[in-house]
Amino acid sequence: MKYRVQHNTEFDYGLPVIAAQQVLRLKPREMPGRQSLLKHSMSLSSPGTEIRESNDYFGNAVHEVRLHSRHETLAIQSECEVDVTSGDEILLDLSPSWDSVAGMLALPHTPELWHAAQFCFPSPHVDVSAAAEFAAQFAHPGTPLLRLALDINSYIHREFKYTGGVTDVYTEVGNVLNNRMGVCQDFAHVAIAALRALGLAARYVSGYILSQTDEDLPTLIGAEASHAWIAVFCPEFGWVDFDPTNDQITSDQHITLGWGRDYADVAPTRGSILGGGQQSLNVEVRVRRIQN
Amino acid sequence: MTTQNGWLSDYQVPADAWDELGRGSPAPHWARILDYFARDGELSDAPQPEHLRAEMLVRDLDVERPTRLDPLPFVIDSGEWQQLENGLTQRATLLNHIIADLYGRRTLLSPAGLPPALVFGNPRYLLPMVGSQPRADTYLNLVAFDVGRSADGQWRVLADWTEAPEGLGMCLENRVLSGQALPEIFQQANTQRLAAFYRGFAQHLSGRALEIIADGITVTLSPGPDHPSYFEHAYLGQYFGFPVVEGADLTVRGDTLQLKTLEGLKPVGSVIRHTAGHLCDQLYLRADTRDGVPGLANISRSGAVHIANALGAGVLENDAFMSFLPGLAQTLLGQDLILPSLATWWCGQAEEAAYVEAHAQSLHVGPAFARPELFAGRIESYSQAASFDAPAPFQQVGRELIRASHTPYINGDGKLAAGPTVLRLFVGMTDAGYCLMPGGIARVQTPDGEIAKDIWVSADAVTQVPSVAGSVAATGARRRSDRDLPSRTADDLFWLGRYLERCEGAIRTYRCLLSHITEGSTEDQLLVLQTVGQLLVDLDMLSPAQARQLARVDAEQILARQWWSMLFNPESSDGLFRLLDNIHRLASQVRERLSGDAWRMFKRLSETPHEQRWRLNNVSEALQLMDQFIERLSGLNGQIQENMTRSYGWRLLELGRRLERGQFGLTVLDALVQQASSSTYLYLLLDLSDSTITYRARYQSTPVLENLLHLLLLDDSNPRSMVYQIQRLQRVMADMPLEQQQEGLSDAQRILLVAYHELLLSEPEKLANVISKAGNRTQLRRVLTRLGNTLSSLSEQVTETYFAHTDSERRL
Repeated sequence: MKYRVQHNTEFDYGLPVIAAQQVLRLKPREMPGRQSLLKHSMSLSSPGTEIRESNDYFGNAVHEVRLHSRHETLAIQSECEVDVTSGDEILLDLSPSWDSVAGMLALPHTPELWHAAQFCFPSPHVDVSAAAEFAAQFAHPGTPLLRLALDINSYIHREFKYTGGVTDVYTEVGNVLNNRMGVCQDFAHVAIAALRALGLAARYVSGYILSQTDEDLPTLIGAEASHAWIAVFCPEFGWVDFDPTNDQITSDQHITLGWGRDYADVAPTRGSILGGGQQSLNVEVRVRRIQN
Repeated sequence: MTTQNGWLSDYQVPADAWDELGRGSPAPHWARILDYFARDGELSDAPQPEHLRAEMLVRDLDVERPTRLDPLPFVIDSGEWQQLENGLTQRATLLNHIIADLYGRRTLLSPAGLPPALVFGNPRYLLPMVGSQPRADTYLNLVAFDVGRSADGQWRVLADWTEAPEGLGMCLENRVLSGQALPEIFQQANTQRLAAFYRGFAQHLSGRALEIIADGITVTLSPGPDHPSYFEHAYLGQYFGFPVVEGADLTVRGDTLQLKTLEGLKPVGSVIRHTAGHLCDQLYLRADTRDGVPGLANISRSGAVHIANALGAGVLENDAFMSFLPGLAQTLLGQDLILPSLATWWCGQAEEAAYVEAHAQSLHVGPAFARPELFAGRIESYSQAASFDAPAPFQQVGRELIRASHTPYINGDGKLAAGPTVLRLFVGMTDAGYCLMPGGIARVQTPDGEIAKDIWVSADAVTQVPSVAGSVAATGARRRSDRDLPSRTADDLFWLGRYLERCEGAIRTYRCLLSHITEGSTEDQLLVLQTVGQLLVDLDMLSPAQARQLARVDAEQILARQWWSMLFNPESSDGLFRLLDNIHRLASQVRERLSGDAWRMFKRLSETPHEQRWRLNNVSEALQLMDQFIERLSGLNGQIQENMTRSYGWRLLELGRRLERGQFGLTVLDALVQQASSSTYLYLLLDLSDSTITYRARYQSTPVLENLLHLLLLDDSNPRSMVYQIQRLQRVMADMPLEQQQEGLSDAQRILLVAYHELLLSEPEKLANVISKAGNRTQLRRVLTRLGNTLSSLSEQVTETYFAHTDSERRL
């Protein structure tokens, strides 16, 4: 399935900004067999801007943007075309039991396991201990790992209310668990914390989902903005993506920008400014299916 | 102890602890020191510098730490020191290798290497720093070790400090004090000097800076005056000659780090950081930091700036790694670890976790990846069992208990007593590799709290830091130049100058008000009180309601009751309290630019109201307080004028003062000029302008407005006159860095030149006597307004030209 994505970000600083720096993670990843990037372009409203592209620790593309001249507004337009292939159907119950995998990750004996093991621990936005009790209810010995992951996802989808504006990027997992509401990023953090509390490897995925309302498709929550979901590591299956916001294993409707331990590692925009006043941020995302 | 010396009678070392003095009779190196203190079998009082013990320590370094320096040093035999030196330099090398691997080749991050939880469960392992490779693979430039001796006489490393070790400043100060206290014995003992170590450490860093970028400077990065160790940062920065900067003073441009200085951007090659690594970059590391430099992580990873210690070096600052060190010494260095560590059991491994559980009663169990701050960790914690409830086993570590060796110290009764002792020692990178500083801090546990001792090492058997004389020529030229004055510091100095002057003006006005209150309550006086009260309102020193209260017949009673809250109300957004607070804050921020004397005077100034709080019962005592303020301010101003180099720092203070004095003069003239026909007001004007004596000397008559205007506006020999301020401003501006780069006059110079000529051309006679039908002195008003405009546009110009980059940074 091919998509065109337009992601526009507009900052209005209220008062002139003397200098600004932004780190952008807006270029979709190449994922052999699952996603290929056909085109990507980025433009900024301010002239005299320094842009540098590099890859971060996780292999995500990063654009660092520096503006050293006075400006009051900044518009970033990112546009891309990607081709997403749905993976093979996953037979959840054929996956190894979660407890055996947790054991393997504790003492990883292959480079692959060792690499996955780095996603087993608390990270700045994922307070693992806060989710220990929550996770315990899913932890029946012998449950296939991917079945367990789906259980956690379905539970969050069923019991948590998708509500914008009640949380922000600094909301902690414990709070989301107590209030049982939030947005995709909160749900992803909760699911990651729960999986890590059981000694499993889970990562945070940033991206988009299709926002076009086709007749044969339900509208997915999280469209018209950037989206977030999770991936869990399972031996033999590799990293499998789950979307707790929409209660599904991702197929070809999810476009991946990048991944990390949590939101802080892959925030689409992150910046710091000198000066400025009351500021506002406006983000617009449009995902459209395109013909071959 | 079985010695005939009575003064050793209180000296008791428990049987299960090692005695540093040597059981039986003192070892020779101790005996030499003790003999010096002993006289006729008693502890002599002659060499005991009582006054040094408590007060001097808090003189320059207001940091949290052991507050008392024991006059008796910790002396160590040179052979033993050699062992420590071999062990600790090896350990520093090993720690550096581990960090180099964790952030570089990552061979330890594999199935054959370390457990993942030890690295990825460690919040100080900073993923964005992976791939960084500093010059010569030096990730650690300075490592501190806590070292203790167990009962078997074996030295053990109790803690490694790799993030941003503190204590170098304290060592220096302890040395100065103990050297002063015991000059003869210090010489006799042939004590190894510290200076070569500090020089070697600093030269290595400034050498790196120059390798990295032409004219690259070295800076000291501090989280700022709110940090408990800020004074140490400032003290060391001053000692090394490295400007003390905060995150907002630095900026990343292209592939370089730049310091925003008064002269524009200057390249930075090396950074000594006192800020924790994860707080150093709001773009790539923790987003919610206020102390970082956006983009620093990225350019330091590429080697475009050398950071001491490298960002992420804190990964080894914990107890969890300790038990892995012997194995890692074999893997990475092919050597046995010379100095053993305290035995630890990290619960991220099943066997160790089981051991800790089984032996919880006889272990100190604590967090695996966190430590109490540098001097907060208590010595007795090494000998006392403790428990800790970690969320997960890998976040927990158990360590063996040891009884630290005991050292003699002089207790409050002047007797020799013994207390458990831990040494803090420092290994620094120099051009000749890692060197152990020949000294350090010995911390001794006493019943009255912790005390510190200077560590003395005899010079004979210690490897000298190789002479660095050869490289002095190269780096000597890089002496700290005034040109590296960070813009923010410049801004602070400018405002410090303004506030000092504003304070003086306010105090003079208060004094004037108070003296009129005591003079009685004629109608004339009440009018004066009203006018002065209004002036204080204009100066933001009183609220309008307070001013009205003071212009009443019973003002004296009101003031006697309420003078404190009126003058020094801490809740009020204006008034003296806030002003003094600002002065103290700014002075702390520019602490490294001030002499010790000046700093103490600033402290005394801000303490003045607190000292006097309960002593003042009436107006005349309040008046005395104002006199005291004026004295302290004058002392401070004298200190600045007489003892401060005519650097940019001084110029900025001067700029601020002259601007403020000009504005104060204008405010006073403006407030009083309406009533200027009455001689009462003319006296008031002279009083507030501190020009009464000058006027009498000049005119020998009752005040006449025309003469007075000449004196206050045009007399260039009167240091309070407007023309005097303008001339001083012209002189200072002519020497400011960016003014000279332009052709002809800068905007600021132009503004001042116009004002100067307008002033010269004005005629006091007309200013005084041209009165409109409405009763206004129109010409005078115009001159005052134009002067006011001049001063405010000059202030804007200076701010725009020199401090534009100092706005606080915000995250998005």
